[in-house]
Amino acid sequence: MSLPAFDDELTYLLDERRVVFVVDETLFPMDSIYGAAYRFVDRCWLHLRRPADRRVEVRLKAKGPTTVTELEALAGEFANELLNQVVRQRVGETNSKLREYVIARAFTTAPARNSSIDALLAELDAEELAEDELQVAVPWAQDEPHDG
Amino acid sequence: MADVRDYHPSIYDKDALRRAVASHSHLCAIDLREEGEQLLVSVHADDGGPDAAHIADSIGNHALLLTARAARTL
Repeated sequence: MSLPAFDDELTYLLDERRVVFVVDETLFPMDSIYGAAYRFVDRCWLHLRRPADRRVEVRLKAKGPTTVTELEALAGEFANELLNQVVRQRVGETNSKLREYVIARAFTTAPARNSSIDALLAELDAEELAEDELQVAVPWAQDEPHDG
Repeated sequence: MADVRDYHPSIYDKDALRRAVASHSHLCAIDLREEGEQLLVSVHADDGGPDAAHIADSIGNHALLLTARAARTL
């Protein structure tokens, strides 16, 4: 399984509240960009643009006052999350058949019998109850003939 | 003052963008239109109301979230 390589350091642009960088879609598929972006929607404002074919410009804007250090950290964390998402998707693709088999097996396997409860119920069914002097009917004895 | 942002249809799902715009329509006037290849969202903030840029930011995040869900990424 080959993983995309980060040959160069992440290059980005900064302004007062925003960090902007370009992601190569041939290295990081759109699904990985969506997955990474989803993890950041609560932390910052995101805007994705298409500057060129197979290129996605990611703009991360701080929700409040911030510093250059924090913006750089945000960009770095986003890059790490991109890698995380790619790995996650690759692993998912690799295991998809096994996952489908396990799920199918879980839904089609007959439920396990609880042998101890079944045994108790069988005992009760087979047991002949002592004659009931008050002639009170019991649900499991409705088919049995009784006086009165 | 209006905030105008472009959204590329290869990145943002059009229906997701419509829903994001609709969810913010109670705040101010928002215009969604196609211009060439792009989808443009113009936010015309009311005086005394939330800032247009802030509303536009929120629309962007909402549209991205809905698009990601539609792509079954999550």
